[in-house]
This record gives sequence, structure tokens and C-alpha cells, in this order.
Amino acid sequence: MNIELIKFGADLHGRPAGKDAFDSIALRLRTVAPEDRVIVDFKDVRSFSTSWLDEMLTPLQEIFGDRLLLIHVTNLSAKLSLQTLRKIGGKEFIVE
Amino acid sequence: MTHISDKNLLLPIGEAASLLGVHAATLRRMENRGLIDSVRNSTRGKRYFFKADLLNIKHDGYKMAKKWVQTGKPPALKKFEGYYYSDESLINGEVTIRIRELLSGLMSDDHISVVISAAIELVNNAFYHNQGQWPDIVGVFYFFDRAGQRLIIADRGVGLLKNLRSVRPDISTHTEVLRVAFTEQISSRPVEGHRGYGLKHARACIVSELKRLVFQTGNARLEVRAKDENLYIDEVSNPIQGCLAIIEF
Repeated sequence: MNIELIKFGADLHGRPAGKDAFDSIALRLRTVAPEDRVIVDFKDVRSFSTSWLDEMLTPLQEIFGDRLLLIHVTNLSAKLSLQTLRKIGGKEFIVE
Repeated sequence: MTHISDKNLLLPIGEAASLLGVHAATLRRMENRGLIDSVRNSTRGKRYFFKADLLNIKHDGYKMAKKWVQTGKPPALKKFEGYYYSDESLINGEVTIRIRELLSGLMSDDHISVVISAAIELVNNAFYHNQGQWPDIVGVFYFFDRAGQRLIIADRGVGLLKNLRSVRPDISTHTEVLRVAFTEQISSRPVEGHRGYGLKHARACIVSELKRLVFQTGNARLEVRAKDENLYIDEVSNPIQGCLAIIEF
């Protein structure tokens, strides 16, 4: 399953917005087969904050573990947000 | 206490006054009026002033922000027209879209993304943690200075100490709460699963990419500098209501 973050907006900030974004895809997540990966594509999003990414990625990781893959993580605010989640929250995401 | 010998951080009153082009007595009066803070190296020791604050003191946004967070009676809103945002949705667009418009071409898209990211986290923090408990003015003061490459966010909320004591009653001072808030995963709204990364993220943005963050709450002041993992936290002379953040980028 592919999740293109640009479909949620060009700038992804705020805990409530992140939670709402996750809630909006929750039903689709049930269709993911046990052997399938969930790929989160960061392409074209212009800025991120840790709060939004935490609300979207943390539950995805709790459900899918190593089947969760982040791609096109080139934006510096995305990298710094993921770094904060890792250093402070102990959350390691698989990034391609 | 912050290293007194670091002249990029602190200056004794004589040098501070010289930097401003005023007499020491004038600087003391400015401090008494709440325009600038000092820190002493012991109970009756020498007074030192923060270099970053001295460089900011003549800045319009800084002067307005200091008035915004003054303790006691809230300031008159009409004097802050154009800089006051009562609702989070109003300011989010200002921070994301307008910052990008104003900085495009002046710096890289990556640098701009980090300015926006740090600013939005601080703004969101102010609204999120004061939800339903604003003591007087609801919302934030926001000042963006393109030429001076700084932005200021201030709120008249309950402040970090009161917020975080609800989950960590062992924290008893403003200086301690700054240390905890900028280093530990902590939130005043953990029941909802809020995991509290905002201030840590703002710190990472400064250290990795931006220039400086000055953050005040109560009678404590914190400074974070580029490429420097240290937190410079001091108890200062003039307490404020809520929080005040200045990002230099």
C-alpha cells in the first residue's frame, strides 16, 4: 500500500491535523495483506513538523513494524523531524 | 549558571552598556522597566546581560513582544493589530505560506522548510498547551522580520512550569522546567497520547540549520545556538507571563 503524503497537503504540521490524516486512512489499512509493505512517500511535501509525523507514522509503525518503509525523505525538515522522533522518542523508521 | 566568560553569550554591565551606546545607569533603568533582563553570578554579584538581547533591544518586534508578556495587566490589543492571532488557523497560513513567499530566493528551500518547521512547532505548542486555560488574552503575538532574519512568537499562557507540573509535580523552578522541556519527552496532555516533541524539535532545528533560539518562561531564559548542543539556561531579573521565543535564522 502506498501513502503519498502530498495528498494531505504541501505543508504538514500540527498534531490534530496529523491525527486526522491517520484517521482518514485507517479503513484502507485493513486491506493490507500480511505480507505487504506500507510505503509512505514524502515526495513534494515542502515542510514537516515532528508533531504531524508522530501522529501519522507512530501508529503505522505500531501496526506494521518492519513492513513500514519511508521513501523520498530528502526534505531537511522531514529529516530533522525523524531525527527528533528517533533521539527523543526512540522511534526508528526504515528509510530508503 | 551559564558560562560568564563566554562573551558571545554574556557581557558585564560596562561592556553591555558600551555595546548599546548608553551609560550603565541607563541600562539599569531599562532593566528596571522590564525592557531587558540581567543575570547575576551570585546573590549580590556582578550583573551580566545577554548579548543576543542587547542586539535585539532596539528591534520593534522585541519591544512589542516584551510588552506582550509583561506580568500583571494584559496589554491593549489595539496596539498589536496585525501581530495578534487569536486563532491557530489564522496564524498557520501566515507562518507557512508567507514565510515561504518572503524568504524564497534569499535562502534554500531546505533552510526555509526548517524555519517554518521550528516556528510552527512553537506556535502549535502555545495553542495546544493553553487550550481552555488561557489566563487572559487567547492567542499569540507573532512578528516576522525578513531583513533582520528573526521571528518572534509570544503568548500570555500559563507558562511551561504550571503546564508541566501537572504531569511532573517534582519540577519546582522555571529553570528546571526549561531543562526538562528541551531534553525529555514530556507533555501536559499525555492522556490523549500526546508525546511532546515540539521544543526538542525546535532545538534540533537551531543546532542543525538555524542560528539561535532564545526562549523565556517565568523567570528563566534559555538560549540554543547553531552547532552547539549545550543549553544555556539562566534565572533572570524580570519574570514574564506565558512564553516568549525568538528564532534567528
